[in-house]
Amino acid sequence: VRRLVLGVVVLLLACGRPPLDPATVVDDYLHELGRDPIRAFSRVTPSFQTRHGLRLATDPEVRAWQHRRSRGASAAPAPERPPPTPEEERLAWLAVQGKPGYQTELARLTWQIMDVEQPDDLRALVKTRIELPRGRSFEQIFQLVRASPRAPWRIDQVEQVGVGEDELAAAFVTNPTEATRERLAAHLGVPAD
Amino acid sequence: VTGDRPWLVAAGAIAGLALVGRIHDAFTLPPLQDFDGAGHALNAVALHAGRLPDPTTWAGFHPPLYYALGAVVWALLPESVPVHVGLRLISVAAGIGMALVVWRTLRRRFAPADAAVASLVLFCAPVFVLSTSMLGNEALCAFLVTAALARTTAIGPPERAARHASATGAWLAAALLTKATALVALGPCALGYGVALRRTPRRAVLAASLVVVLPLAVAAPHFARLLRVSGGDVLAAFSGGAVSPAAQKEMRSQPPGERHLADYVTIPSATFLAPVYAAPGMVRSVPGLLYASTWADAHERFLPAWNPRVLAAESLLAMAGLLPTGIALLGVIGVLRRPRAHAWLVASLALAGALLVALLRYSWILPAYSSVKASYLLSAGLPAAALLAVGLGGRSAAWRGVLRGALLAFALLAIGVTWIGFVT
Repeated sequence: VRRLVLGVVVLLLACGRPPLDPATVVDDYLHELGRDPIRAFSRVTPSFQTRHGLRLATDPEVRAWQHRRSRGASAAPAPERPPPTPEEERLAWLAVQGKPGYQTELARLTWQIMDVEQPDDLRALVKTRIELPRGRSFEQIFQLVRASPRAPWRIDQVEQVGVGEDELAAAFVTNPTEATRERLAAHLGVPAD
Repeated sequence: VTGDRPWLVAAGAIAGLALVGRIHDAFTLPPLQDFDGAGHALNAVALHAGRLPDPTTWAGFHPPLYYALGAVVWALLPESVPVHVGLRLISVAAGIGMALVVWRTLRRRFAPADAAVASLVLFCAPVFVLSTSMLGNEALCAFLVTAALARTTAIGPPERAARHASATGAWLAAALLTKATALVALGPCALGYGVALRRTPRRAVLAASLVVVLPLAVAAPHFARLLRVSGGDVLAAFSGGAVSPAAQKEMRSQPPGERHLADYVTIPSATFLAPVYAAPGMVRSVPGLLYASTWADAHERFLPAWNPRVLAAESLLAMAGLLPTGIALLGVIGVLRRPRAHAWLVASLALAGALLVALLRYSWILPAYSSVKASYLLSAGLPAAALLAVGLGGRSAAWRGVLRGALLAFALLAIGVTWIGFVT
């Protein structure tokens, strides 16, 4: 019985899903954001995790932010902070997806794969349309790469086109970046730090 | 046993309910809200990719066993089950295993009903619920340490002691490959063999050596790697704050920032009335935070304490926690009165003491509120439940019935409060 169980485990481990095509990778990734962040993390390249610029806020930084928010325009500006380290970016990208409201915002959205371009075996471009309630939408373009034709596709860069102020929250949850977070904070009238 | 049957049935039914709640919580808690969730997640990603975690990252100092298991679970579970849930289910399984080992150990020494009720209170205590429904290596380490400790309560004939100690050493090696906390268990387990085999000194020394040397030998490569990276800083084995710049920055920024001796004796009223770290006086109080993180969610990682109903429910639970705390204290008195009768508990009690001392020292070295968490004492679940059973066993039959009933009610209350979404 022990050998049989071991055999089944080894077989299951060996027989994973075949490498996915770029459109499926993007579709899975969008499904996984906020719901399964660790799996989503495994679908992006290491360099992706050094481009979004998100950082963790320490306990005193959160309290200082709350203070500035309560004081409004009369509050002193936030002190300059060094850019995040790659580790801070990775941790922040994962942690932000468990924050209150993230999943709620994502649940309002739908998306469609509009176009897939594959100039060669190692690069692909997937264009999607992110749709919000009441007909609003914007375009999100994924650049994917892989190390060899047999390797799995990984998302390397994301570009968003046509994001207006009303779409900022949706833009943030479908591609969490520091730049979008700062725009969203400015739009909501809260301190951006 | 016949008179115990109603208690056993009631405890079993409540344990079933608690188990459903545990699995529910593992699925319901938002992703990576777990203690150091993102750090543990990066370790699991590394093992899933077939490499060891970078020891200079937030949780990279942890030994790899839990994450290796996590990688296997990740590969086996369907994609409809999120990876963080799979990692939490390892903690759920470890929690069930630990409660069963405790129950099996206690029922050999106590009335079946007392053993069942004490094990159930452990299983439903908020500190246990939180740790065993979150992702992280704490619960698995506690289970493995408990399995080793349980073996020291029934060592058997001296001629088979070396074999027995080797198996205990294997459990401890697995624990040490899961979390460095297990280092604290080596000495107490060796003591357990020393006391049990004191009439055959050679066998005692051999057995005690085996439970120390075997785990250290197995885990040596991991700790050698940490020492190399940290330049010999021993604290690197216990905290990411020693080697990870991100963890270091976070730990240094957390209040209270510096420790005073008064922090170790002050118990603010918020311990019972608003048992969360942000309440007045709590961030400094070591006993207050320890108590509140045992009987409530003191660090606000699990329950939404901003909701007044949740905070009121946690307060009720913290006040109700005085009952099991009081009975366990009666158990301490019972052990002190009859130490020989409780010699089988020597390793377990020594571990509880060593863990407490280690935690107090850690809270002094790292004066941050997150360094004072009762979950760091989770491996002392067996001695805690044993003291509860001793406390129960020392009462008259009438009082025992009343206390058992009250403890079952407490367990039900704890399940209700820690069931995510139930109070709100």
